[in-house]
Amino acid sequence: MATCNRNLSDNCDNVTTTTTTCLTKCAPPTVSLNVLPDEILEFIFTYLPPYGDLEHCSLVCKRWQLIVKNLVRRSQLNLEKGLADFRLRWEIYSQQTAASLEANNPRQSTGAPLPIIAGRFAHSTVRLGNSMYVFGGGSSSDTTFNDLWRFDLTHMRWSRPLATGTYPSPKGSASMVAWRDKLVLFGGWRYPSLHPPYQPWCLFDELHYYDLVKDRWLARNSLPCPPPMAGHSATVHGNCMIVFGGYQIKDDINVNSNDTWVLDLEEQRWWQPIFVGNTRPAPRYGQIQVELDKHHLLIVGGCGGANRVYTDAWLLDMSRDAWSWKQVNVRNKHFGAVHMWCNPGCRVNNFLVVVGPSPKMPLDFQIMKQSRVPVVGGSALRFGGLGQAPAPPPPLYQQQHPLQPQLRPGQRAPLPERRPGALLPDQQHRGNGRFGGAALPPQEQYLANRRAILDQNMQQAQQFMHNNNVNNNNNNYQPRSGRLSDLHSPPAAASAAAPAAAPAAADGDADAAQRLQRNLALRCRDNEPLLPKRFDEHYEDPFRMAAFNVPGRSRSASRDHSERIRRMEEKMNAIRNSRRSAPAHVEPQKLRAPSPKRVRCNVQSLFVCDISSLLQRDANNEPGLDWVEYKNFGVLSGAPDRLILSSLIAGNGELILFGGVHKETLTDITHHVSNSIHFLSVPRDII
Amino acid sequence: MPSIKLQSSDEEIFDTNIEIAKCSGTIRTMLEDCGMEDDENAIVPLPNVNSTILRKVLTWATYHKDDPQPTEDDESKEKRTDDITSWDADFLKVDQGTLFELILAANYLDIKGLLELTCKTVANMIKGKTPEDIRKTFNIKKDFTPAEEEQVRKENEWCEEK
Repeated sequence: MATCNRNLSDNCDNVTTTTTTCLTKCAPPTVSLNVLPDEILEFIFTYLPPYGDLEHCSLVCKRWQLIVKNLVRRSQLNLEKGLADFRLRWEIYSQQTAASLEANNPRQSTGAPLPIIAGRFAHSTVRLGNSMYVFGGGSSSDTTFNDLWRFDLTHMRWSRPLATGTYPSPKGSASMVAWRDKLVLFGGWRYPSLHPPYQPWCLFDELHYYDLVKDRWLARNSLPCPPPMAGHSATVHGNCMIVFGGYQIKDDINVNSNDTWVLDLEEQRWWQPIFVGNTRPAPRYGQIQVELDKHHLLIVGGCGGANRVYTDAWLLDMSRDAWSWKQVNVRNKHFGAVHMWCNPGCRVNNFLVVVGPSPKMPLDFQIMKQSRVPVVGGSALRFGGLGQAPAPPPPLYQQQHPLQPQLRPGQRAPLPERRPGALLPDQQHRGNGRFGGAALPPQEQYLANRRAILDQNMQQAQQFMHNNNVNNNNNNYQPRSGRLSDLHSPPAAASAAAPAAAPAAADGDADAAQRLQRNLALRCRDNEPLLPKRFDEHYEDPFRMAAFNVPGRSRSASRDHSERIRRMEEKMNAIRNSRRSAPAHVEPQKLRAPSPKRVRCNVQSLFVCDISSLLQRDANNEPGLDWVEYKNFGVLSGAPDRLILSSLIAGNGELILFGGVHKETLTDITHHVSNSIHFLSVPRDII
Repeated sequence: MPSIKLQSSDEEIFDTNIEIAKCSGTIRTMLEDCGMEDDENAIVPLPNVNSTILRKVLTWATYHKDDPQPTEDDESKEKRTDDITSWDADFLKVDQGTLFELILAANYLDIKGLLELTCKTVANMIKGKTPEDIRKTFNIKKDFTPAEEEQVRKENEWCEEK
C-alpha cells in the first residue's frame, strides 16, 4: 500500500489512515482516489471508453499517465492475442443503446432526441482521432446519401456536422481517407438517373476535401484526373494518397481497372507512377487495401466481374522511383475469408482482419443463386410463386404471418427490428438530397406507392414468368418461406397502422408514383422484347446496385456465354437439389453437437490473417499471408447479422463495424440496411 | 441453514449465512482449504476489512445472493458501462472514502460482482471530466510541470495518428 499514500502527503493528519478503520470517518476531501493500488486503478480505467476519457486520465498526474500507458499497451496486445485465438466478443451500439443511454443520463439531454445516422451500405468510413466519420452510401430505397456523420467514440454518440462549401454528390463506394485534419473523398457511384432511362450506373471522378476545423467541403477537380470510378481502394502514405483499381468508365466503356493513381494531397495533383515490369494484379474492384508502412501497401481480394472473385494478395513496393507489384503467397487458404470484395477488412498491427460470411455454410451459396432471378420475377415470386394461380399468396406465407396476408397497397411496412429508430413517427424523410440522411424513415407514402405499382405489375410479371424461357428450369421459383416476412417481422402494431396509412397513399404523390412507374418499367424491361437491353442483361449480379456489372464482351459473344452460364446453373441446381433433399438435416446436427451456437450460421464470421512476415521482410522468411485457423467457424459471441458492404475500422483495442445491407433484400422494395455499430473486443479480464 | 462467523478488523463478529459468505472467493478458499465448513464455531478473521465496510459488503451480498451467474455467451450485448441497477446505485450513494474502501474490500474478499460495480461507479465519475475536474473530484495533486504536461499531450496526439 506504500504507493497509495503518495498523494495524501499534503494531508499529514490522515496519512496513516489510508486503508484502515477511520478512513470512512474522515472528511471526504482528504480521501484521494490514489489510495487505490495500481491494478485497481487500471481496472477502473478499463471501464472508460478508450478514447478521450483515457487521454484526460493520462493528464491527471504522473502515476495515472503510467497506468494509462500500460493499459493502452496491454489492450493492444490483448486484442492481437484475442485475434490470434479467436477469443473476442461482439457488442452492439444500436438505436436502443443510444436511447437508453440518453434516458439514463438526463444531465446531458437537451430535450431533443439525439440525431442518429440512417442505415446505409457501401458508405465510406474513416477514423480520425477519437471519431469515426461516415460519408454517403446507399439507402434502404435505391438512393444514395451525401451526408457526413461523426461518431464520437468517447461519448458514444452520433452527430452531423453542419457543413458549408461545395457538397459532394450523393454516392456510395467512394474512397475516404484522413489526412492531417482533413478528410479526402474520391469517386463513387450512384443509381442511374431515370431521365433518360437505360443508362448505366453513374460513376464519379469528384475529389473533395473536408476541412474538419472549418466544417467545410472543398471540391478539387483538377486535370488530369483519374477516370470516374467506384469500388477502388485508397490509403495514405506520407502526403500521397494511393488509389488502386475500381470499376471505371474509360472512354465511355465500363471496365474494371488495375491502374494505380497517386494524389499528392498537398499540391492536389494527380500523377501515375512508372512500374518495373508488367506484373500487376488483375483488374478488380472492392478489394481490401491496407497500408503496411510509408512505402508499402497490400491489396487483398476483390472482384473482377462475374465469377471472378479473388483471394490473392499483392504487395506494392513504392520505395524506389519505379514502383513494383509483387504477388504474395497466401497460406492456409482454407481458413481464409471468401468474398473479399463486398466484405470489409482492416489492419490491426500484425493482423489483417476480415468480417464475412461463415465458411462452409451451404445456405450462403443458395442465397447467391437466388438473387440471379430477374428482379421483377423475383419479387413477384415471393408473393405468388411460379405455376400457381397469380392471386392467392402461398399458403406457407399465410401460415407464418396470418396478420399480414399480403402487402396491400398502402400497407405500412413494419420496419425491421434492427432499425427501430426509423419508426419515429414525427419525423419526415427528407430524401437523399443534399440535406438528407438523418435517421428518418423512408417516406411511407413513397413506399406505399411503390408497393401499389409492384402489385399491379405482379400479375403481369407472373404471366411473363410462365413464358420466360431463360431460367425456366431451376427451382428458384419456389417461394422461399418468410422472405419478406423475415424482413418485416410483423409486430402487433402493424395491422393497426395499416388502415391509417392507406388513405394517405391513395391520393399520394403522383409524381413519386410516376417516377416509380418508370423505375419499374426499367426493371420490367424483360417484359418488352423490343426495348434495348442493358449491358448487364446476361448476368444479374446479386449485388446489382453496386454498379459493378461488367459488360465484358459483345452481345453475340455473350449469348454463348449466357448459354454456358445457364448450363452451369442447371448442373449446380442438380447438385444442390440432391444435397438439399438428402442430408439437409444431417449437417446442422453435426455442427450442433459441440455447442448449440454453431447452428446460428447467418451471422458475420471473423477471419484473421497474419501479415507479420510482410512487415518484417527479412531475407530468410518468404513473405506471405497466413490465415489463422478459425474456431467455431469464426462465429463469436454476439456476432452481428450477416450484412454486406459494411465498413470496418480499427479503434483503440477494438474493431468497429458499421452499417451494411442484408444481401437478400437487395432485390426487394426496401433494402434492409443497418445503422448499428458493432464493436469487436476482448472479453473483460478480472484482475 | 449453516452459518459462519466473520470477524472484522475491529473485532466485530458477523454471524453470516455460509452461502452468502461464499460469494467471496477469499472466504470460499479459506473454508475449503482449512476444512472449516462443518465447524459451526469457526471464526474467519478478515483483518483488512472494518466492521462498517463488512456490514455494507454483507448487505450487498445478501441482496445479490440469488443473482444468476454471468454467462459468457450473452447474445447481443450492448456496449455501455452505465448499466447499474437502481438498487446498486442507491447502495453506492456513499462518500468517496467508503466507496474506495468498498473497492479494496471487494478486491481483498474477491467478490467479482461488487468489484465490477464499484469500479464502474468510479469510472462513471471520471467520464466526461477534464483532467482538472478529475483532480478536483478525487483530490489528486498535479505533479506535472507545464513542459511535461505538454509532452503527454503530444504523445496522445501522436497515438491518435498511429
